[in-house]
Amino acid sequence: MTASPARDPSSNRELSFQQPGTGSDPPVPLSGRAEETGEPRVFLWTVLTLLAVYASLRFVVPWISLWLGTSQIPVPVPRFAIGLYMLCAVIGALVYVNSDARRWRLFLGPVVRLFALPRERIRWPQAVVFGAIPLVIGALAWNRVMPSSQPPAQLRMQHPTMPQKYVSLENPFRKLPEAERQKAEAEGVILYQKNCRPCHGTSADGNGPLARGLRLRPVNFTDPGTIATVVEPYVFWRVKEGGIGLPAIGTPWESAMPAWSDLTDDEIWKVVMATYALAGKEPRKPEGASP
Amino acid sequence: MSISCSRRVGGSAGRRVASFVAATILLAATARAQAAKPATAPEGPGKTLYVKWCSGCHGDGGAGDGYAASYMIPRPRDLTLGNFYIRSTKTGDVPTDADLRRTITDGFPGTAMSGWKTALSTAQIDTLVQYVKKFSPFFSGPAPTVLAAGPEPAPNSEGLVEGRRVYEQLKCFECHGQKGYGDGTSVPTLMDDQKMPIFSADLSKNWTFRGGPTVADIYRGFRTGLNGTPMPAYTAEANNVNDEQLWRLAQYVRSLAPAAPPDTSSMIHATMKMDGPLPATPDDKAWDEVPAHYVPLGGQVAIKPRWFTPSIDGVWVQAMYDMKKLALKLTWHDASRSPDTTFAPWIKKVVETLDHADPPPITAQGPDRIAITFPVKIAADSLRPFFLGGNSVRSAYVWRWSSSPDTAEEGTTRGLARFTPLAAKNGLGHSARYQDGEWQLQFTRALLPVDSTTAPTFGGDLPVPVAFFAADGSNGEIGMRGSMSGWYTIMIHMMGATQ
Ligand code: HEC
Ligand code: HEC
Ligand code: HEC
Repeated sequence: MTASPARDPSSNRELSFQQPGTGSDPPVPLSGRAEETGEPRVFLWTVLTLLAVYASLRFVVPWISLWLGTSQIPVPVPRFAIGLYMLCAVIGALVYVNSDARRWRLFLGPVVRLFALPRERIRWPQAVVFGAIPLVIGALAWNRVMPSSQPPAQLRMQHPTMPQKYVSLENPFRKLPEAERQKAEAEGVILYQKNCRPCHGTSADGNGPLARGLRLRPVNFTDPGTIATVVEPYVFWRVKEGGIGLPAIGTPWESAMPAWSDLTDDEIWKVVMATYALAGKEPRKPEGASP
Repeated sequence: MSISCSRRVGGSAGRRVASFVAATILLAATARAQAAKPATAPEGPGKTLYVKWCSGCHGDGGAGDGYAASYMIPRPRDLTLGNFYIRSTKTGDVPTDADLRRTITDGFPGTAMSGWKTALSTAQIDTLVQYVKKFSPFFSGPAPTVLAAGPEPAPNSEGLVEGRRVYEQLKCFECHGQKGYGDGTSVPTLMDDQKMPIFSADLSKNWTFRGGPTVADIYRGFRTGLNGTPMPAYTAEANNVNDEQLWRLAQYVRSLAPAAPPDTSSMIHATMKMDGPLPATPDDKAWDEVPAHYVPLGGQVAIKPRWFTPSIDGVWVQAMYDMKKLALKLTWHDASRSPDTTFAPWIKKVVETLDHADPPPITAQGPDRIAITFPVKIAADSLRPFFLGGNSVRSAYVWRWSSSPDTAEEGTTRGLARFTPLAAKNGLGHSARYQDGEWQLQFTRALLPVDSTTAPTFGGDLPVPVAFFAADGSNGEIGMRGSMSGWYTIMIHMMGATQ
């Protein structure tokens, strides 16, 4: 592209370009700010559109497959595919902008203003952009070659919906007279200390001696975000079916939480009650009749 | 070992024996009454706390026989014996209040005795310190003598050489091994005072020390000894060394462990080999350039038969690749090359101790084993098989190795116990070395599998998920008994090569 520099009437320092072959169009003063000339901000809108495309590829598309039910967990768009889509989007945007000479010049305006070097002094936006270019390229190259320090994100939901058949269950021991309830709870504590302690810790803080090998840590029940936020049948379900009983959104493949098939239902209710007691927490109250 | 054993009776043993005789007479008088009824927790402030938090393991009478006790090795301490590991006092003496406070506050890493600082207040812990002392008559004697320690000399390289010499002179290697990896020749016979099998400490993992990781903690540890364990007490007079030399020994022992406990991120970074082929053996010099990632392991209790008393607590993993192959090196400490007949009595003890253990019973001593689980296909959707070799929901691709016979094979699994060798073999190579209590094992496989529907492709755009399982045959670990890790990821950066 050859262009002939022209004097900008509003400022002595700035330049404007005229595209060859578009001589019939009235030249748009490139340095004229859109807001000043009342023209649309083509450059800004192009950049914003491209950012929006990128954001939806990164953050929206992964959840679509989940909503559509084609996958049980959000599927991130591979980096390669994102690159391809973005390339298409950039080409599309350029074709659109270039299809009209006036639009093209409006688009180029901010770019030219930034890069056109004044003779007297360098303005700070120029300094920043020129300084940043090598840094950005360096960072991109570094990122490509150097291992990132973050493990690839695994999306996981700690409390997915419980299966329907558990929803209306009730802990039979909660309704007993206090003395009998306490006896059941004490039996539950024994079951807890034998079976759950190695992972969930003696005081239910998730720090059992066998927890150290696990990436997905045994739950710290004293944390208010865990069993205190769910109803008792929910915990019953988790103990009965363990990690393997979780839907894919709960990443069952990394949960070491056993399915307690060798405890009877009564024993599970006792251990559930004991777990709340050891953690000093109350189960969430079921809402109305059907929790 | 016999020398060290007789030495540990030195110091205040006289007083200890005297008070023991006194206590025996005292106890004998009430023995009949006590034998009849089950032990109950003594009255006094702290009883409620003790019964709520401690008696499940330590027992109502403090004898270390709570209902949960048989699920653990080491067993809960028998508080009636007055034998405490961590003290600032002479061997045979009881600990000070400060010692007990420290133990109850911080606990013992890697054991069932967890620290109580999050669950209990300092005032509650102080109450328990006084309460715990009620179980043993030895606390009613004269106050224990705190050992005096000289000043620590400034550390330097000659000091480390001197420390090593003292390590040999005092024969620490008999229990702790030449390199300190816990593989001394005495290990198969070591027992604590409750006749339970006990490993000597792995000195290269100072973060597992009961008494703390620092030079001063180590110094105090072997000056006082660990009462109730075979770990003797060493004094300058009895061992013909001076105090400075004992400090040098402590500095040397500290130097066997890394400066800081290993970082525990889930990422294992693979190194690209630029020049020459990948190494063929795990002791190749080329591995020295590759960063080692520590993967902590815990007992396999996720599925039956569960294993509450694992011997391997971690493995170092290194990964190296070129344009064709991926090599993984695993390094871990194991006191024996299994099967090892000297450990037969050990296994017998372990089996007797775990009276509740899940069936099937442990009958024969197995080999040492490793299993590495991968997904069959490495996909962006991040659906994975269960980390213990998959399950009936989703199968996994597994490399497994056994020390005797020394073989490695790849297969498809629906759980580690359900292994089908691969029909389309990808030429999985392996090489294993055992020396000084350390296994080094290298696996090598082509990046591209013969059949990509049965085995994963390595080095694509995506990181490689891996999970580890290790078993020590001499500790009775057969089948699903052993140690496990959750999912880790190996980062292979092909720098655009395969993309
Ligand atoms: C092998 C170690 C292990 C043992 C033993 C174990 N758990 Fe877990 N548990 C886990 C892990 C890991 C998680 C977190 C992953 C998950 O939610 O499945 C978990 C999660 C849970 C949850 C879910 C809490 C929440 O807020 O989502 C409950 C409830 C629970 N465990 C109860 C128990 C009980 C009760 C026992 C004993 C009968 C027990 N666990 C034994 C490892 C274990
Ligand atoms: C889950 C079981 C368990 C519980 C609960 C428990 N302990 Fe322990 N405790 C142990 C074990 C196991 C050891 C021995 C560890 C070892 O040998 O390394 C031990 C050791 C001790 C020791 C001996 C320390 C030494 O220097 O030798 C004291 C003191 C002690 N516990 C006090 C307590 C108190 C006080 C509580 C209650 C707040 C308590 N323990 C709760 C399992 C438990
Ligand atoms: C007779 C065998 C034996 C000998 C000899 C021996 N140790 Fe030990 N040592 C042990 C045992 C057993 C343990 C582990 C006790 C336990 O499980 O807590 C131990 C533990 C240790 C620990 C860890 C202490 C802690 O806080 O947990 C250190 C450090 C140590 N020994 C250093 C030494 C040094 C230095 C020597 C030589 C001066 C030595 N040991 C000689 C058997 C021995």
